[in-house]
Amino acid sequence: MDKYILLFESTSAVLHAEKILKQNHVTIQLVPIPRHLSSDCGTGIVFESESLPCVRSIQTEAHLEGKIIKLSPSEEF
Amino acid sequence: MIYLDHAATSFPKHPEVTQAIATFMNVAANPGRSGHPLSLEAARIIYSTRDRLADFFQSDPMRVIFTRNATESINIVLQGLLNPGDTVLVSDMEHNAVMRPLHAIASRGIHIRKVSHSQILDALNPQIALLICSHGNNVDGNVYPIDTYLQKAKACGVKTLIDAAQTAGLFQISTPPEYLAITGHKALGGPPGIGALILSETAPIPRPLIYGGTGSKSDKEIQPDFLPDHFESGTLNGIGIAGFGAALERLTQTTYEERHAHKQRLIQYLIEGLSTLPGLHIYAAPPEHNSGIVSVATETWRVDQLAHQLATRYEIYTRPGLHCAPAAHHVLGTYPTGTLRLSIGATNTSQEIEQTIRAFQELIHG
Repeated sequence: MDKYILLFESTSAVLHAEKILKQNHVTIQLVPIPRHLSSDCGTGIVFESESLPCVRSIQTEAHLEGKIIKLSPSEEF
Repeated sequence: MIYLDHAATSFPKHPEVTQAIATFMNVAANPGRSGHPLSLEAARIIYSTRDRLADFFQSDPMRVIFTRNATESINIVLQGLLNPGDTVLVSDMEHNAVMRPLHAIASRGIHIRKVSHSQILDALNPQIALLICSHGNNVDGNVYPIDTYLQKAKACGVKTLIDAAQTAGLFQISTPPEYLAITGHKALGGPPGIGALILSETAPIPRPLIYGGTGSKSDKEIQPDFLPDHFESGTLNGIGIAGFGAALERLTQTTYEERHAHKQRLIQYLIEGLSTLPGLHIYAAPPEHNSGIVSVATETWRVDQLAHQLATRYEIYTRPGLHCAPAAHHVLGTYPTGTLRLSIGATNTSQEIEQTIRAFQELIHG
């Protein structure tokens, strides 16, 4: 299954998103961000493609400003 | 021992606060610097306190900035928001946490207009850039009608900075100021060395006081402009934040009304008991709008002597002097000798107040 990573500017924003996604029962994993993807804070939120619509919807409702990027197989953890 | 110096810092701290500090030391590393479990755990503990503060003060967690104390929070706004030519309106009862940074920025072309509390509403006008005043005074405990000031300031388009060092956790503010400065170690029950600046949704973002590494935008040598990283350079006070979070969790087990009622009852008892003593001057706001402070002075004892006698003969711990608030003592007529300040906290009891009154009776009557 394809995987996606949600990137934020700060660790505080990552943890804010983690709280909201967990409250909505989305299965996520916090991982170090591959450096070529972003120079922002060191942690991103990885989730599987089946959660993508749900994550997008939560992002809109909760005003989460993060950026979603599809991970290539070589970028997966 | 009877501890009556809660306006300086609350004591004792609850065991859960101490435990949270110890736990952080054992399970957490540097937050926001890596994705390993110890770094993440630190970040989660810190976010949890940020989130609790946002709940407690009806704010957004991203607009809760950790600082060392209310003084640093005040400095961020005064030094980072104002520009030459701006006018600041300030009350004549302020602590040096406000007055010293104001004097510092006055030399940079910022105008300071100092008025009494009764003049604040009339003095507010659209030409004022910022109103700064404390919510509660640290010498006589007076809690000011801050919502009235804030509503008028909003109507005039004046930004507001409220120093809530003495009132956070005791008295709520219904109209959020642009900037709220709090400290963790007083009525909120946290450890020393941790405070916060809470920005409203509409507050302009001041320049930071310090610049440096934040764990974000690491490829840039320019300070991030997003919150909270804009203000939080360097490693945060993780143990302080962990203890602060535990204190807030503890505090939510009681209501504002319960906490205030406890203090109001003890303040009333203390004022009534001390009022019967000849020659003892009392400086205290009425119990219904008092944050828990009674100041006294007498011609028969210097205030430092009185504090020493109370401490050594009765193990009653108070604070004599000017309480870092010479402006307030000028207004109260107690400058330069100052007062002896007795400040009540959540852990004090009626029996302790009774023993304190008895000690004063013995000292005054000889």
